[in-house]
Amino acid sequence: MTTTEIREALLAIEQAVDVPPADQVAFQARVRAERRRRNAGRTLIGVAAAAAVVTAGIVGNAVLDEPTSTPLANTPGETEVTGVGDTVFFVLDGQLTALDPRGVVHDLGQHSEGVIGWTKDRVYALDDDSHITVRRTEPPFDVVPGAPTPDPVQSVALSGDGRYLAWLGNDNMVHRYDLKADREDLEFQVFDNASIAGVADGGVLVADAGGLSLRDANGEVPIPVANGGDGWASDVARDLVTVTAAPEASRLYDLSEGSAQLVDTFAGSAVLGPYAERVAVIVPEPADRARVEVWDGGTLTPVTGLDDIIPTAVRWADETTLLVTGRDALYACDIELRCGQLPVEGDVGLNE
Amino acid sequence: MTDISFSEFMAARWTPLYRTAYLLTGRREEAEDLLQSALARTCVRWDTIRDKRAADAYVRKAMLNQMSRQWRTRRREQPTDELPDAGHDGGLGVRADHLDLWTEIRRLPPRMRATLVLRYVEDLSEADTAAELGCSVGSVKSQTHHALKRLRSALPELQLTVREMS
Repeated sequence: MTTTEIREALLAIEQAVDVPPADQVAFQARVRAERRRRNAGRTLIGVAAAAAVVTAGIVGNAVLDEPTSTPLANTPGETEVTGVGDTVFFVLDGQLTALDPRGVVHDLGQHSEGVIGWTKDRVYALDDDSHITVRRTEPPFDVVPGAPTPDPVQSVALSGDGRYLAWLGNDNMVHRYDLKADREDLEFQVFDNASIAGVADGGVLVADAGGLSLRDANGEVPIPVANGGDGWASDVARDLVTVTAAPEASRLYDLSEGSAQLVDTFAGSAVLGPYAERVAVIVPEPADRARVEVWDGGTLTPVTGLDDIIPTAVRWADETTLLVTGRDALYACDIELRCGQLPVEGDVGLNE
Repeated sequence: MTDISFSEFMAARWTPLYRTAYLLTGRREEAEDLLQSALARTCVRWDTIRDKRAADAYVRKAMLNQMSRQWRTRRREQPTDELPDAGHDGGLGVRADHLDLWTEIRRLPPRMRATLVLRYVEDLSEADTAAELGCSVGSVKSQTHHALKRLRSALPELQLTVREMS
């Protein structure tokens, strides 16, 4: 016999194997993780990115363990304060976690793909099956029954003001839920492979193969995605939209006049503050370093106190507090843009 | 195919790509895991793939890259006698000699198995196989040689001989 036998055997096996249907829920979770990985890699490109990605891609069962609260051993007790006025939420080593102002770390007992966002009294997250979970923001962080949808989602976003939750179901329907009015106020169909990039009063920011647009019941406002950038790495708050434009740059648009007007450009990936008053930008530097700058009224100012980490992701905890994560560390930056390390160690994931 | 969406591509190519993944891994669960990862990587880069006709090759390359990262982290590739996946039975229409050969191919170290799949199923030349695996042509020849040697040893009745394909 010749190697033809090998070919024939392999081809026979290839044709005989039972092919399972594609698990769309698992696949969408992987896509989100890959997008996070790519986004982090653009900014940092180095070992530090892996930490966030590992966290984002955590896989486990959906069992909700008992929440635990752990004052950190190396903190001098409950008089220690984080400098952050309210509890902040993130994924730590794959677990949904809260850090309260006293410096106490609370394991909420939930495997999580990521934190969607939080309001004064509710925190929204994804479990490891891409279901939206809702919990109270105070200990013991109980699950609030009746999530806006019981089904797994492809992508999801909470508006910066905490009023709207938007999600894309596996049926390619986008839903926007008004959390204040406690009712769904917008629904529309999108094409395959679309993704929700953000949500605001003006509509839902949808990225798909056709580009990026802010859509509501009356229509849509297209937003330029320049230089091969990615619509999915966008953000919206009030009438402002940030769009990642390759390579390693972002653009800020104003949609208040009904069309996208360029306001500013940034030399890195940008994240809008809750009320669009400020923009955090992770700016790549040589030797795989990066710095964080905050745009405020047209002026960019670097934050201080991040010398020990390479920033990989940021999230606005509120209008004045910026969370920054790097390799196994979490920092909070105040209104003066001074950053201090929070008492958390492990793979920190800040975003959905 | 130039204007095909990713979802259309995935729907159309899931089955053949899964079959390739299965041949590369030899295990159903690993095949699905490998393919899902490769497709997710392809999905987020879909707009940058100008020639969508090459998307199959892109996915295959992504699968091989992931596999090679895994085997490079191993100190030494070890064939295993353990075959957790039950494989196929005759009811699927696979000849007994094919099944015997597949059983031994599954026992090969993953890089050897990948070399055979690329050479004899994907019909790649030694140079193209080397490019896909990120190794030298000499390494492809060596891997092929050692794979055939192992298969001959395990299945002496087959008397496998190398027939150059390029």
